[in-house]
Amino acid sequence: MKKNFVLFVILLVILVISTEIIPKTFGSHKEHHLLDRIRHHQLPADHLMFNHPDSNLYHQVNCDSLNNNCFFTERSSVLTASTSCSNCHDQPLELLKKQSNSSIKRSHWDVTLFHADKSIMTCTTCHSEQNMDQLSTLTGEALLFDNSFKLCAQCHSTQYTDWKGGAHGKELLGWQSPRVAKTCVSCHNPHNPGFPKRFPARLNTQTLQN
Amino acid sequence: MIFDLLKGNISIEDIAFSNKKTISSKGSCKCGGDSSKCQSNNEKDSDEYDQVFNKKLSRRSAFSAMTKSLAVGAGLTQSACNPFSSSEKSEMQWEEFFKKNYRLMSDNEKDQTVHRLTSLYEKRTGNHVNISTDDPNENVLYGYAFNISQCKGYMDCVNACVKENNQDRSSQMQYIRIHEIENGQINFEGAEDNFYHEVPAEGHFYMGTQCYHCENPPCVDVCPVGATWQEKDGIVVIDYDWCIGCRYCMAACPYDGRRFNWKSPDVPESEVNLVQHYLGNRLRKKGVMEKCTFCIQRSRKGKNPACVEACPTGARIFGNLLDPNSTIRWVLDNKKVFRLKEDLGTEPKFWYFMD
Repeated sequence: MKKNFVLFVILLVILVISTEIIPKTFGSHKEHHLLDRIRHHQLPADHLMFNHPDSNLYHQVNCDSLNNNCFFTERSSVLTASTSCSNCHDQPLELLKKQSNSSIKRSHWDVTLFHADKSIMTCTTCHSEQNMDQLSTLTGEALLFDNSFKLCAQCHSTQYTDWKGGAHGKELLGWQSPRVAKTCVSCHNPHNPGFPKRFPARLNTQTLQN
Repeated sequence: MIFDLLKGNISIEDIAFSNKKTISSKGSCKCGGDSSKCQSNNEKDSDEYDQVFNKKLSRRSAFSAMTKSLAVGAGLTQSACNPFSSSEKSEMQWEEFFKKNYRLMSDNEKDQTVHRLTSLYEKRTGNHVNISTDDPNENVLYGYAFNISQCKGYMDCVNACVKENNQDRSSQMQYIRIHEIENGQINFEGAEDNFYHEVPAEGHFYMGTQCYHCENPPCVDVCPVGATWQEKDGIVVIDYDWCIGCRYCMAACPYDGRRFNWKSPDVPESEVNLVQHYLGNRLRKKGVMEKCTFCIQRSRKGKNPACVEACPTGARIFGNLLDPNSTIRWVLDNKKVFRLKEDLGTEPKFWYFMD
């Protein structure tokens, strides 16, 4: 009985040595998985290597999920380059249409809404009735055209999260910080956000040519 | 023998050895008999060729020096007929032929080979090419993510890749393959690789493949001449001047990531991308391997690869895996990602994900 116990203790000691002590002292602590290596890497504080002078051109927004600076393309300067919206839109749309000079087709007269259906979206879901120079949220809060992505985020919250993080949308400058990306409306027309089908830019392989 | 020499079949030691043999056979030395006597006899005989062959020179430099004089002579005769091509040019060509593997080159030697390559190209075409030898950036490990719900099969990435990397225009050898796969499966055998219809096709998704720059690249292990290796920033590169074209790497790659130049690449002079990297998009020749380098000439300067820049849908994401704030890390941490053939343990640095 005592002999068995001694044997058991010896075996236990051998087991501990072989599994714990030997690999830790003699074997190099090698991370086997790429992801471990990536996550354990300590990045020095001054790791920013490239500076984009161009990033100053873009509108800076606060991305709460990221520590680094994010820049997105501006919208209001594009829209109000020639004149502000309220120059024409000084009264409700119905009244504008009834006016005598309404036969003259001005800017964006052909806007038709292909975005959800009428029970969900109308013009005023996004545009502010009181101030045409601004947008308004579902709760009636005023919003600048530059921050239109906050309007989209009201419904498309998954896409918004992906875009904020970097899994959705188009990067503009490069892979390094600061990140510069397009906003929703730079790609999607807010009145018709889908994309039509088109032919690919080239044949895929030579098999077809043969 | 000189033909064998030119083909690189035998080395300078072989010549020395064969000379030694002929000389020593004159002395009727029988190896296996009195070996010490045999040795001394050999040494005595060797005096005649010692100055030429037993000089403390590396094999390549000795060979290079030997043939250079030959080349200069040939160049001079040529220049007598044609005043434009100079002996300098043929000397350069010979030095190019006998240069080292890129990894063994000192900074000075790198500059020299770049100088030779640029002046030879300028002599030939009149265009000035800018070949960079940028080293990997510190604290950078490149990674790539591909969104299979965003890719619509537009093929803009392939066009951009061919143009950026000076790929052969006639053989349609492309680094990127876009596979049109029916919804509900990931089966490359059933994938349509040569679609040409309006995209995206109903009930299909698109998946792009290219070199994945594996963390444990099998292609690097099999290369018999060390012409391909992994750089510190994770990019698997090829020294085009060291590759012997055996295509072992092509066979070893489980992902069909490598391409072979069956013929001299045909790139119209006006379309050549003159911003190049030694290990990247510089012009290749017949019989060497090439593949995606994550556009090393762009990425090491902070830019995105050409395919990422060209993708109109934003399906391609590129970044620094070691930077916890990078977009690629956000994708890895927040999306459900997968890689192809994970069970092989190659650890590709190329992840797929869905919206």
